[in-house]
Amino acid sequence: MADPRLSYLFNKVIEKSASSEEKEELQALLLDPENENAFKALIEEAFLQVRQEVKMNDNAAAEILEVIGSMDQAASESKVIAMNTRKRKWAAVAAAAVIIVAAGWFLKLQIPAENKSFSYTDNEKHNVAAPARSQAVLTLSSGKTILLDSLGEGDVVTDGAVKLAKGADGRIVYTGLDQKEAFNTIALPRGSRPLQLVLSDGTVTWLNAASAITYPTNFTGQERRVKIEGEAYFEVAHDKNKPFIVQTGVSRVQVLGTHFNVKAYADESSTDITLIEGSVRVERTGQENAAVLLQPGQQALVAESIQLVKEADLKAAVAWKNGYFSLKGTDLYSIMRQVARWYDVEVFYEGTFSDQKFVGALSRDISLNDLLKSLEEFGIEGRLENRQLTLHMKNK
Amino acid sequence: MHSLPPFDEKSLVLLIASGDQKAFATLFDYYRNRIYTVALALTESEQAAEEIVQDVFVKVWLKRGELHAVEKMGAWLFVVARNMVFSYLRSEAAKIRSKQRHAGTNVELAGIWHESRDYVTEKELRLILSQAVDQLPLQRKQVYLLSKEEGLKQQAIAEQLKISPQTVKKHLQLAMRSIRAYIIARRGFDVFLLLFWNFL
Repeated sequence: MADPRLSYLFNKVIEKSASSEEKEELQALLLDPENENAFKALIEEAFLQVRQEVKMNDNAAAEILEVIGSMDQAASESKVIAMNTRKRKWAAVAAAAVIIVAAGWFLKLQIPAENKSFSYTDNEKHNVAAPARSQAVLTLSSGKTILLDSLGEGDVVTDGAVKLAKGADGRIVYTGLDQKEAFNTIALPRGSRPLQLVLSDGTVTWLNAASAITYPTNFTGQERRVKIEGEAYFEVAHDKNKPFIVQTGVSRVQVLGTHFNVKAYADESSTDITLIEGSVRVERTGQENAAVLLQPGQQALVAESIQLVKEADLKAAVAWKNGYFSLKGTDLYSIMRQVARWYDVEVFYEGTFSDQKFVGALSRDISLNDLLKSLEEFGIEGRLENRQLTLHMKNK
Repeated sequence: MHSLPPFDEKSLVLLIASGDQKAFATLFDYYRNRIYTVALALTESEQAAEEIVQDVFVKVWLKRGELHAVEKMGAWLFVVARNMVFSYLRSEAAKIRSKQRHAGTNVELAGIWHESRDYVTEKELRLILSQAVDQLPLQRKQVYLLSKEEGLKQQAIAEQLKISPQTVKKHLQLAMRSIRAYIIARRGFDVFLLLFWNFL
């Protein structure tokens, strides 16, 4: 049954007697997924309860009829075209799939119980939702650890002379000065939402899941140095007298004031530094003479040496910060590394997969099973069990 | 309450299923104002309410092949309509909330965020949009391109194509409507969270 408050507010809107506060309240209720069915029922009921019809503009009505009358052919044709494109893409994979099907068939005969038929419904009970919270662990200079989730909004923690407060949206803000350089670390486990952190110099950083950042609570030295593992996005506060330096396992990024992303996961083949704005100098540890100066829009891939990408896909590089998985130009394994970090699952591969490059983007808010359903479009199925995801090519 | 429809629903549905546009118009005329009334009250926007009515009937037309299985046309139509209204209201509420949430952070961030939102649908829309524009009748397409791509004022378009400003206005309105119908038909009303695919 509908929440009485919900129906009360809804009816006031329908009767045009709702105040703007009441409209806002209804809007907030609308965003709660739990209210979806009740809301829909109220709208449906409203259609049946209409006493006085408002007449829609006759021209508009005529236009709608005209448009629908002429769309017929085009709409059905375009659907067919879209499907053909998709099919063509997978035609190449089909041959490989046949072999996998054949192999799978043998296995089925030998161990029938192991190779159950696949269904997304089976996945549902093992489904993994997108992370709802950051599960950040803060390590103070004293070695004391604090679960940031346990802090409420506005709570303040002191570490020496430094204070850190949890603000709105869960972001952590540092204030106060410490004469000596004391280091704090924030670590996000896999399956954690990104965390936004404002350092004492005003630099804003976003930390991705499965990542950690170590930074001084106050930048007292000649340089502002932080160390990261995993992935972080920086908007460095400008200070031309104090260069900002980001150290990863293999790279060193030196900046004055600028916006950039550093992706330095240990399971990726390179450390990628993407510059959005300003300028940064990228060095590979041990090859300090072969530094690369990045221009906005460029990317440095640091592996054995530094490879420069002159026109990087900026949006793809910061998609994580904006709530998306960017699939564009990536292969299955690269997507699955993101998936493993985000949903905190282990991924297993059954059989071989094509080296198909993907396109598009997906919201990071969808559940893992929904993500798998969309991979089905690419001929890939995934079975979920106890945070273990097993992928295989779809049997056609 | 409401009197029974002035037509036999079963046979009307069969006619619509067979592609009869006149039968479709009868159904449209009977239900459009009722859907419009509720949509208008909830969205408080004539344009949004008109778009919802259009989306509902685009769906009816696309699904006409399956209509014979529908027992009660009115009830089915209201389910389609309530889903449309709900999706519209929720996306509006989400839009407002995201604006509020990002108002506190710096402008740069809000810029990147919006850009990336657009990015997700931009490529897809660009492709479908060009197809949608391509299927417009020649003169309507000309008017649309002169207005949207060349940025010409309606008066200038009228002069260039030697047609009346009213005709330009009508062409533009119809172009926008049919582009919307086309895109919605293409997306199949999916509420699925798959944001876009492009085929490079």
